[in-house]
Amino acid sequence: MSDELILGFPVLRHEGGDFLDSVVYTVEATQYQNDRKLLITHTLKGNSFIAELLKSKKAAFLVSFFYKDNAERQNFICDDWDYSEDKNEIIAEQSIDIDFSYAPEINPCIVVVENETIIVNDHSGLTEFWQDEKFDVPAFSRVAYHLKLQFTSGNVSSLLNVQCDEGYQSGSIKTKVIETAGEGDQPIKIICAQDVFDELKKQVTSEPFDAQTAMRKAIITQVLCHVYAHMNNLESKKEVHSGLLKHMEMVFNQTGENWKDGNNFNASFAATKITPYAIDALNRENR
Amino acid sequence: MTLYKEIDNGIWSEFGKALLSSKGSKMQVDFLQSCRDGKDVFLQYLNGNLFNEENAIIAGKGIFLNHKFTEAEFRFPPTDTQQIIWDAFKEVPRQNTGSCGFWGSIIVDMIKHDCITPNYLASNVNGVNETGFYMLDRAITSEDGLIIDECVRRILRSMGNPGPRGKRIIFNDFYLGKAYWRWNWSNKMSNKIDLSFEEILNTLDDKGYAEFSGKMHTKKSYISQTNTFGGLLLFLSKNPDTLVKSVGRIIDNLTYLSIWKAIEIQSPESNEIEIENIARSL
Repeated sequence: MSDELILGFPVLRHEGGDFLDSVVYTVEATQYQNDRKLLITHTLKGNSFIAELLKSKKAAFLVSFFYKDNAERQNFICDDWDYSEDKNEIIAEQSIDIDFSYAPEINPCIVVVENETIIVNDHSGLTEFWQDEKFDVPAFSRVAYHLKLQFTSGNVSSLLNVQCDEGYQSGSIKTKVIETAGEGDQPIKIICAQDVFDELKKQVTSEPFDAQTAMRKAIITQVLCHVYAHMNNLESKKEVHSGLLKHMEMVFNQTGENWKDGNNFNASFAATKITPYAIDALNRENR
Repeated sequence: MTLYKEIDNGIWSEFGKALLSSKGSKMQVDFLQSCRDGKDVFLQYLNGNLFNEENAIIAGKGIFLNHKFTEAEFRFPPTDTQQIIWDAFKEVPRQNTGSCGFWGSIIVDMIKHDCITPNYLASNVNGVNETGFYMLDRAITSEDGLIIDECVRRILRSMGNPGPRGKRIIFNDFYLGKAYWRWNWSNKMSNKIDLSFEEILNTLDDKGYAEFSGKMHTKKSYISQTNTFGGLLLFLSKNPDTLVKSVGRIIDNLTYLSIWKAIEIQSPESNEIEIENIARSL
């Protein structure tokens, strides 16, 4: 049980049980002082057992930096925060020096700092599915993630590199996957026609509200499902990019399809079984 | 921030790639011959084929490694030479000591100042008498493109050029870089865990460092975090045989564990226990 609890945020199997929509963990990172410093702002909204753990200092915000060229990792814990009763949110800020001439990859989460047992109640921020359930949360468990790869929000931009080829016919997409891409690299390359690229660049809404927004989100989901169907046939996954592998396993679970069904497996159909992904960060600078 | 002199990394990389584009080519043989013919000819070759590019050198503070190496010492620096290397570069920011262009510039300056001769770069002194001159003569007179290419690759690696194996070359394959980084880790970790600098340096002997470095600079950089690495070193200092047998699998398991558990903020001593449990279960 505790394994499932700590594997993601929201963490539970699709349609099985989940955090309430009112529970949201977001992180913003802003460079300042001539790009020599990073301001990391963690925000946890809503009532949840995680908020209670933070308030009682049994959990803390953690941000990890990864400087790719030197393979250097740095960790910064923050247990100092402000609580806004009006907004029902906990906000913590960290100002951290950038030690290299390039910005690091940023990997924030919330960790429990000592062994805890949680009995789910109305204030736990979980759906009724887990009512009265008892969880053991070991010390140092990551109870909340906000990676660049934020699976449940659909932001998979850290896996994808999208390029436009004006020579492509309207509506066409070509996907290349480099399963063995290095840490920090984007293993999936999408090359698409101008019209597809333009669609992908547009702002995505959390929920599709018409055929076009649904299509926009579904494009990426279909691509991912085809990539993972291909990867599922690899004989050895030992050297596969860890982020890709982790996400692949999660997509397998979410679709509820039999991915090992060889030629009978239909990746496009599987893509219809999950909430579509979209690229949230495609339109940001330097992507 | 102080800028240090280095070769532009893009130009440096292209220089290596061009040399490796065709095995046994005239270009490769010419390069080897210039290396065989000594300092002046080799520097002339570099001037004509590398430094002729505009902005090939990024100006900055120069570091002079004022030590005349023997060939074997350059290939396998003993502890006292490692100390000399460390002393020369310990104040340089890690971004520079992680840069191929920085080390390339150092090597060229060492040749200019007679600290090494170009033939050292081809050396494979490794228990057998495969000196730089021997390796160069063997390659230059060979009709086997693979032998010629292999010698070119060795020289490029000895110069910290990323052409043969990418930019991570300077952490392990490049002799000076390897000595510097091993010393750097031992120094850093001796302030974090209850092991002396010498004990850590011994654990990170040639084989151990190669194992760690390979992991740290590929896909398992997770272990480069000081609390995680500290746990590993504590474990290995008590169980040295494990290093040879199964440290690779232990590191793999640590990486999986890190997905859900923030072992990077757990103390090295707690991580040592964690690693013991992993090792027992293998």
